[in-house]
Amino acid sequence: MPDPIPTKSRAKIAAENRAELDGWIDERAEELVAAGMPPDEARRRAIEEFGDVNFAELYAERQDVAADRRVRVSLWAEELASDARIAIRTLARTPSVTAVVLLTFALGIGATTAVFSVVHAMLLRQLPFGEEARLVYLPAVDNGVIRPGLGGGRHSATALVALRQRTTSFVGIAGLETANGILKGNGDPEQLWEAGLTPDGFEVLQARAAIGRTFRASEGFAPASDAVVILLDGLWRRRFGADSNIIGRTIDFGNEQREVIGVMPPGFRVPTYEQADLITPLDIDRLARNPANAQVRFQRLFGRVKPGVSLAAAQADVDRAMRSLQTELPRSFSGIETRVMPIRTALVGQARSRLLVLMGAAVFVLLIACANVAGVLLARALARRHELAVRVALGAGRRRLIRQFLAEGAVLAIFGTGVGMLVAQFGIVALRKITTTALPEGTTFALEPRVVSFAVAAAVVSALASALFPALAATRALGGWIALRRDERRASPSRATKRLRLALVASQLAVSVVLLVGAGLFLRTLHRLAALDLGYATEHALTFRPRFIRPKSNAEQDAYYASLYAELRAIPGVVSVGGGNVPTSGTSTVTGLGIEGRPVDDTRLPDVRYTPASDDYFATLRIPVLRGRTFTPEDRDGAPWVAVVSAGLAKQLWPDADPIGARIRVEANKPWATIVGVVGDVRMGGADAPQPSVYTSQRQDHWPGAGWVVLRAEGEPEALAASVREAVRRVDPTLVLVGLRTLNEFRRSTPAIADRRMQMQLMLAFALVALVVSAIGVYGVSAYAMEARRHEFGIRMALGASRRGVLWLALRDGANVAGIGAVVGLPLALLLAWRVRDLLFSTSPYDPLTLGVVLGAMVVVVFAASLAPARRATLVDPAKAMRAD
Amino acid sequence: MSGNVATPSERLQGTVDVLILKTLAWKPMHGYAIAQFLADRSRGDLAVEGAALYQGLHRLQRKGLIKSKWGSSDTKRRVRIYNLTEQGRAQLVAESDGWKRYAAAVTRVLALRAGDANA
Repeated sequence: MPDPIPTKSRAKIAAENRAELDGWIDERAEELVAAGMPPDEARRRAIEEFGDVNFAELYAERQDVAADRRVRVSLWAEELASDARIAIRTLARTPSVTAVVLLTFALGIGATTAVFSVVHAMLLRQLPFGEEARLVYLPAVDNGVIRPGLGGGRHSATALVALRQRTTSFVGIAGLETANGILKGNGDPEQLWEAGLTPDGFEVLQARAAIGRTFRASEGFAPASDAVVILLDGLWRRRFGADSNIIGRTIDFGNEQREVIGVMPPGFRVPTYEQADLITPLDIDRLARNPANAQVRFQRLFGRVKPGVSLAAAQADVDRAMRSLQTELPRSFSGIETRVMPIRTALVGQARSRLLVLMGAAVFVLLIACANVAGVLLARALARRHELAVRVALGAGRRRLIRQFLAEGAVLAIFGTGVGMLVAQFGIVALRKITTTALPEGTTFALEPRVVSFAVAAAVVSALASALFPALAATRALGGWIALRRDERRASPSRATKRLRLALVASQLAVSVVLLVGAGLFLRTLHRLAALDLGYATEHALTFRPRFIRPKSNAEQDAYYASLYAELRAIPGVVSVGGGNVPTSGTSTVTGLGIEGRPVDDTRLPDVRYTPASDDYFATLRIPVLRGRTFTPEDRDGAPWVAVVSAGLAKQLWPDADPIGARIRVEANKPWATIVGVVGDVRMGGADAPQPSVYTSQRQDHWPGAGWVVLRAEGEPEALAASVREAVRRVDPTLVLVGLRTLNEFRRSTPAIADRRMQMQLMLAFALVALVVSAIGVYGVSAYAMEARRHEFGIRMALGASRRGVLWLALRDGANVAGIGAVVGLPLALLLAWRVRDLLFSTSPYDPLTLGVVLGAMVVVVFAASLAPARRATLVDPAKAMRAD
Repeated sequence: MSGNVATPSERLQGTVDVLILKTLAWKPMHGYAIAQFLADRSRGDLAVEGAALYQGLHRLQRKGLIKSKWGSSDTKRRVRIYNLTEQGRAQLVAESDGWKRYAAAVTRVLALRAGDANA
């Protein structure tokens, strides 16, 4: 290290220069006197010879001040570097403490960043549409609510056409419906999601193709509508190798030959929750011309509001149009309204509150980590208080000391950010796995530049804040430390700083309580959901969906199913095989139920879940038959249609009569079916109430290429997967098998459960991190307190205090901190729990079990963390402790 | 260089600076001693004004070519003693070469006789 160059004040520089000048002139004058000149004259002569004294003085001062400033700057830089070096060295001297602090800090930064990447993707990133503010979703509202699930919010083609004609607030209103189909050629056949979009959709969205073009208005009308297709970027890259010569080529999709006219840019997605691989034109007018379609609700509508029209005005306009529709077509539209909703609100939906809860939890973890950093730095400052006091006495300014703390903070921030990025990357990978059902399809998130800058900013701010806090506290306390005499050093250094450390740890515990309560409530919710009786058995069952490539005639389909069921039943370990939709989301909901003999517009009949089912469907799913019978081989093509209804529907429609023998139809274009049996209610997603259901015979009601197959197994169903694939191939080698998994997996992947599981897993992870970090804080506080009070304990024990008494004294700090943490944390936890009560399911936000377990866990952790140092205190040898200095 | 304080011309500064550096290359000295040294060695031909010398010392110190500390002179006087830094020594070597060439060039020009100028 170079010589220390003390910097000087301007006044000192001037004084020294004056002395130098005076000396110079004196020396010359003395010489002249020695040569025989009278002193007065000698002095005058000396000044004259010297020249312009005043100017020389001024010049020298300027030079010296400039030099001094440069010294100051280089000193500052040098000291900064040395501060950093010292910081690294002191941090390295206690590697385990540093590792823990760094790791918790990195965890805090990583967790916050990972969650922020999703928040950014969902709430902040620009949507792939133009002028987002004027783009709205127009969901159907049924009796005041937008029905949950994938079926909710959909409108009929009639509604779309009517809204276009009867409103004036929109530049355009587009409709979109999703379906799936098989893509053939160019590799294995593959099931893809198709979005049917009215040709004006791209104009409404203000979206352009990356290559090729989007639809022309004429392409909305059959037969031209069948001929063209637009690919989304993902499909184009995956399946067609990003070949830009694809435009003009024909692909075989859904048994149609379609010309590819365009490819959408990366990042584009349809403005709904649903997935889409390609977009076809939707002929809405053809659909609307059929009056029966007024009740077939498959369309999601969105529109672009004209410039200058407010959303409120657009809503009033839409309300007017819907009222006129309700008067004209009461059967189809009574109780149905349309909401005007900003597109982002529609896309984010419930995910918003979930995300904000998670973001809050992550920020809490970061805060706890910061408190930890602050606590460790403060402890170190206390340990170094004599050194610091001496340095202050020697003239080191308070600023200089604070800077040293900040240097430690900066070092932590740099390393913490580095490690935090790794944690964030892991977190993002994990989040991608568990958020699939919670976010709109195609939502991507990563460590993008904006996310990284957020992380860096968060790390710098929180590291510096957690360093500045102990820096201010410690340097303020220095005045007191300096005054401490040698023998007083044994006493605790400062009440204020001790209270500060206790407060830090207490707030860590309080935050941990909040997170633990949150995690506990979500865990309870999940348990309640998993334990919920769905009305069918999900254990030991396997399900999959066979998709035909070639359209089958009714007879072919019957034969195909018969042989498929036979092959599957023949697999050893299979108890029974059933066909029909597994009760899940709501894709099979219909709204056009009719009852023979009841006036069409009498009362609005309920929306029902409806699926064709095989004879063994009920037995395989273990849905109890309450009255009458289920389907038999006699219920086949040609025989009179029969139906089975759920108990809830039976009770709702025939409260006092026997439903068996009554005739219903699920859609206006289907034949009347006689009810032959009543079965138990089933729940769809899990959390929702049981939905009224209608079942038809699979051999009478032929859905083309749809329907799930369920196998009931004796043992573990996973073991049967390979045999199932083989059996399916034996029946028809061209068949595509989709979504093979156990019914339990199926159940877990329903949004009601999957979303909450993600919430719970993350909350639990955050809460555990918080608890561990707090435990470290408690340990630190008690270990330090014990060290400071060794002498005191020694005296107490010499005077006859029992080990038990000393142990209690030693544990008291921990108990106090835990108490404060609980007192502050619990009300906060309850307040926040009440705010997120909508995310819970049949769990009270004040769930006593959760609260009890959380408090118990905290007591145990605090006790465990302070026990080791406390025990060490009781092992002090009184004689040694008192003699030791 | 300072703005509103008039400074001696660059050439004169350069002359003073190189003389100071050369003097200090012999041994560390205080300001008045340097003035005496220069007056003695140049046999009175190079009587540098005290003010110019004083300014030069502070200028060179700012440039980091010399450094100073307080001490006592041969006559037990409390004086600021200047010393050459490594950087100053290197600067002296570079400057004295330049100065010798410059002086030689000036000498050559002054030594020209009438008629030589057009040759």
